[in-house]
Amino acid sequence: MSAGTRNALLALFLAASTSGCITGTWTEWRTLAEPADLELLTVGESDLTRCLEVLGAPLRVSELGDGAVLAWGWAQEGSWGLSASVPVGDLDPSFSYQSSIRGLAGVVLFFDADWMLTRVRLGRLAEVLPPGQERAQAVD
Amino acid sequence: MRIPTLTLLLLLLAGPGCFLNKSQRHSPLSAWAIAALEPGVSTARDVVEALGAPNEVVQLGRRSAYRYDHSVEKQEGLFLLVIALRGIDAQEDRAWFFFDEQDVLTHAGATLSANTAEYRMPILDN
Repeated sequence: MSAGTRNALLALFLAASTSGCITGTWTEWRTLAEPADLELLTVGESDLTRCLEVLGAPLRVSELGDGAVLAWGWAQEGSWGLSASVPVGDLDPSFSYQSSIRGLAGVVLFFDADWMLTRVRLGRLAEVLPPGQERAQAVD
Repeated sequence: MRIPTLTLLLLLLAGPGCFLNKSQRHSPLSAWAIAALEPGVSTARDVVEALGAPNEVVQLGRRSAYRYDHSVEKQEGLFLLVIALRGIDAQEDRAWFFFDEQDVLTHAGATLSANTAEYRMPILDN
């Protein structure tokens, strides 16, 4: 590559980048805290009072049959993106890409009508919540 | 074509930029007011008088639960010519109160961590 071509490419790159035409983005997202003492809870023995003591306030509460479902969630992850636009006359073609954020990790506790813990599910909240209950904005 | 050194230096100096942003939702929850509410004694009316209108009411059969929350989100960003770094930290105060059929408080749980949100620069603050 000749010096002239290299300088021309460098000038083009600088002009594009400083005018915001090309931007790469790295985003790190942290929300809420993972509970540390989940192993203190036992199915068939722990009741709602104990679960609230150990895990604090849930993110979400919903009815399920005669009982209830409580969910706690947290996240710490990153994603990267790339955007480019090249204004040319009346046209403004652009491109953008953002790697997906997987959503909150979490734990879902199921309680019977007497507020006794009957089941525990761990995983991505959107996947471990009962069907039809994964629509909360915080879960998404 | 040559790019003068001064021009290049100006571009590099003018290019970087940073921002800080803080946003919050609802009012902070009072730990004192929450602690004063006693299961078996306090009622839904007591909870509303102490904390105001709940942000959510969930019906659980003939029982119910009230949610209160306050969130703080802090963002920090840095632009370096073609690269942007952005860190987001969102934390919450959150409290749930569970009531029986007579609207008597049966269970309460609170997590107060909104004030732990911090400005974090990706990579640099890890």
